[in-house]
Amino acid sequence: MLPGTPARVLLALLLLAGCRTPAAVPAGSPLEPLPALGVYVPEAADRAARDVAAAALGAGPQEVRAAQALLLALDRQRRESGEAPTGLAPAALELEAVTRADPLARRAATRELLERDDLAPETRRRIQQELEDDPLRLADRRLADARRARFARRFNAIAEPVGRSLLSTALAPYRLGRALLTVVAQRHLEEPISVPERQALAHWKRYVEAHPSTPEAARLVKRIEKLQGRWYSLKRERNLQAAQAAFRRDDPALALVLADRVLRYAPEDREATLLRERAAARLARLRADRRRSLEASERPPPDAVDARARGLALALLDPRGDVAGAARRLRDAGVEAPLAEAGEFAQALALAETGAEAEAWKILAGLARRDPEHSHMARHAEALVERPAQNPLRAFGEARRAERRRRSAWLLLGPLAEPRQRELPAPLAWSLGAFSLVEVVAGLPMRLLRLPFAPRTDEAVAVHARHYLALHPRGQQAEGVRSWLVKYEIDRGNAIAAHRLAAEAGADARELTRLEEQAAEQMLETALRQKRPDVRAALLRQAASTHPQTEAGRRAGTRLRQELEEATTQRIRISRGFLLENPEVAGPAGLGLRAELLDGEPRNGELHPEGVLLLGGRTLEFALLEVDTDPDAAPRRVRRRVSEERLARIVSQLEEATLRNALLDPDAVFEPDADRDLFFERARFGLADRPDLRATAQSSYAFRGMRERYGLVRRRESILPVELVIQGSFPDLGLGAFPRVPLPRPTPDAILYR
Amino acid sequence: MTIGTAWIHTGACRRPEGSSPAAMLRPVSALIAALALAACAGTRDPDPRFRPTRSVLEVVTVLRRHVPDDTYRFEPARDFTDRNVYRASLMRLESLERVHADALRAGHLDGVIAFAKGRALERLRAFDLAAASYRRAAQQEETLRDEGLRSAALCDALDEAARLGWEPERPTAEGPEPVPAPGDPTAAQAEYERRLALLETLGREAAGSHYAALVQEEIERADVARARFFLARRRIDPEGDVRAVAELQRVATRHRESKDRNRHLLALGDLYAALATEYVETRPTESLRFDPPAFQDLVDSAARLYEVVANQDGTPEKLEASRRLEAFLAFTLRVDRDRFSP
Repeated sequence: MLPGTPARVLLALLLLAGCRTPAAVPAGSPLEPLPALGVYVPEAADRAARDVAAAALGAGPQEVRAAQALLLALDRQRRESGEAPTGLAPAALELEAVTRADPLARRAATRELLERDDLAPETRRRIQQELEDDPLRLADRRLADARRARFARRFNAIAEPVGRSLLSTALAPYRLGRALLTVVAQRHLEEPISVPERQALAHWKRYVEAHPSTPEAARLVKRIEKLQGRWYSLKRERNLQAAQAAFRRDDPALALVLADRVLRYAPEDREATLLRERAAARLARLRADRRRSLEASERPPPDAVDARARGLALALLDPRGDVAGAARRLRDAGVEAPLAEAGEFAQALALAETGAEAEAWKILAGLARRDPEHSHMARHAEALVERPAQNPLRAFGEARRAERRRRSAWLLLGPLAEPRQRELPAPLAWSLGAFSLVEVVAGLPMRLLRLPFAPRTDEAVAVHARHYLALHPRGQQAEGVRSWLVKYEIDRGNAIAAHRLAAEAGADARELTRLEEQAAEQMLETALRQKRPDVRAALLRQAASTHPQTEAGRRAGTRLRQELEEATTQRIRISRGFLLENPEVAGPAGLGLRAELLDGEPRNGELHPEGVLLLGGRTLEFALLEVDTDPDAAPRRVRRRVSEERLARIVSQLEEATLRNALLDPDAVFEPDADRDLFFERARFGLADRPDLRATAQSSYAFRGMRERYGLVRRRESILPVELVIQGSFPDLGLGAFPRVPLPRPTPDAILYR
Repeated sequence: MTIGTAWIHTGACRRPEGSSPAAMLRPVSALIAALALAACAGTRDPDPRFRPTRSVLEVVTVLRRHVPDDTYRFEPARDFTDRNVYRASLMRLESLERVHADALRAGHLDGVIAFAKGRALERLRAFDLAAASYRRAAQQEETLRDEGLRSAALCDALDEAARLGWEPERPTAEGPEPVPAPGDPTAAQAEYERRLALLETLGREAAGSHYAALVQEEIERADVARARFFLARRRIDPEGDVRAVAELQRVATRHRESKDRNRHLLALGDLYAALATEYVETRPTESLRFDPPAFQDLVDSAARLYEVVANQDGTPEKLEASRRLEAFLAFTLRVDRDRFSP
């Protein structure tokens, strides 16, 4: 043993014990008293600033300039005497600029402000943003976006195969050939006008409407006409394609409407005129056919004097009639075809009503297959057999087979299974298809592996299954259909529906218990996702009362009780990280938090990372680190009621800080929240004492620091025009590196141009 | 069409003009082709599926297939021409009666036709005409007498109920002038309640027969008429908006099984959307009278209802609801983000 070791051990133990000393929660309030404000005596600069503001609000530019001159002179004097300037000059100059009547002169004067070196960074950014909101500048940007997107698509289409061929040159000709064809196809499918170009068109129009007499407007009119022509051309193209598709689908009514629409954009368009004529002719024929079907045949009805036919008709209409017997008698009597077929149809009805669905459909299917040239009942039977509304079981089977065919086609043909793009010329489409063959063959093993996880499109199958069960809850096939539906609902995560169906089907108790637990869990998860507390509470109550015997149901009940006990009108959070990054909010001009709560020293008490909660009214809740200094541990909560003045200061500082951050840092997004803003508005007016108890008035907004949001190192957008991509491909086992030009991001208003 | 014409027709359609190898025969070929093209255009074979009706039994069999249909829960069936099967059956029976008056003169099928017409008419809400048809059938056909008289009595009662309460779109016997809305909502409500009581009594009588679905449909119609009455009055009555919402909610809740349930939800969603629009019109978003939580409440309600319908696979209302939701959310873009944040 080393000399002095016991002493060292003792020292170490003491130090450790020191580290384990609980963080002391500060005695008394976590807030400092508000600093008292002395009486402020305005100086000459204050009075001059007041005069500038008053002139801007009530007088004209001349008066503003006069008042502004005095303020600028005061600033000059201060500089000459070695004092700091007032800092009010940029604001006065901006005020003068915005009072100018001519918008272009106003914009030019505002732009001049940017040349000054005494602008605060946030003011500079705000002015820049205002100047950027210029229709001409925005139009230029959108046009640049359109050019960049076109170039990027073509460049990327070529760069990728070249980059992937550097390591394995064997497939280079194939990849390049395919890439070139893709570029040709892209060129062919390109619309006459893109979304960014339409945005530019809208900006130009806005400018011309606002400044019709400027020289720029005169120049823009021609460009607007040209771009507008391309926009009409796009509308013509889209409507014509839709009209042709409708005509191919044998929907002449829609084709007619769409062809008419094309002619509104392009009068005398030959293709549309021809299509319109053909659609109109087909529609007229269809209408004539439909009218004819309501008429009576010229030949006398065979049942006019036939007693057996009359017998069947009476049996069919009489609720106690023996339809099966009458149909059999008619069929056995060897009557002529129209009556015999009606007998067969009636026999199928009688069978269906006794529950013999399969036999009934078999007879009807046989009738439906007959040549309509010789059978009058075939059309009626066909309508029953083929309409999903009448025969949902058949539709269910057909839809399942279609889904199986789709999956098999995807497995065997890969991308070739997708329907061919009709807009592409056939040689181009087939050439692209031929190039895909390598991918089809090479990708087969991978598709085989992915098959169990491939997305299913069973919605149509489920619709028919539900319809069948609604029509025939105890039908011959109800059990099988219901089992399929239970599995479908489980697979798509809808345990609530699966449990209901399984209960209807009388599933065994263990299965029902398992499904019920899942259903309750789903209800609980849905409830917890709700932002509105009233909706959340209602769903929690439903989960707890519908499934009280499940674990999730019990948790829902506990959560509901907890929410009701802890309910507050607001839950606006200011995190510790935010307070550290924005000391003016935490400081005496804002929250007035005791400095030791943010000094990182747990011994004198420390704010928990959760920070401070605004609970509505004038109540704040402080989360403080508990005995354990672990920041992940649950905090000790202290509530304090603050003065109206302090609350007003807090919300004002919060808004100022977040707006300033948003101006200076593009990542510091200040998300909109109307309820937060309403609470802040009321707090500033001194109305917080009358809390708004409506559920829709609650905000749970969180003011979080940038480090909390993005971590220590934020991902920055590359300043390079290209990004380097390293990509592997399973289908052809290729690996490559290539440059890629990123596509411009759609602007938030792009949604208005869809 | 004769066989010869058919041959020219098909041959000419396959061989276009100018394809003849013998140049000297070109004018003749052209003439034949032109004639054939004219034949193609003029004598196209009609589709045999749309042939006129051949027999009364054909119509009665098809109609009988759809008599038990629950038209309250499911859409009425359509025939092979995509027409409402009851309307198509009625029209076909009338065509047969008109065209073959002589052949049917013996009266052998009069009772059958009258009864079948009654079954079709009652589904088209022509209860008075249906009752008359049933009575004629009861007189003419002993087998159908009991059922005919019972059906006639039910149709009379349904007709009586259908005439109670204000419905602006109801055709009137008095003339084309619309009936003015009653000024007193209490009296109007009493009329609707009388109608409902009558229908509920009928429902008990009709239990187990196809009339149960008809009575349910009439109850639904009465509820909708009542809701529409209060919807029309919402701007003049105190608390009219609240009453209109309550009435539409009542319809949606009482008729969850109806085929029109999605329409009821859409109507309620439309009302909330209209209230939200009116709210913004009467209290501009920048004004101090604009109350964000109240507006949020209206938007949430409209959007939730539209979403519910937009999630119903396989229904036409799905498309309608999703487009309406999109349009409604586009309207909310007008509202400043600090007054409404979706």
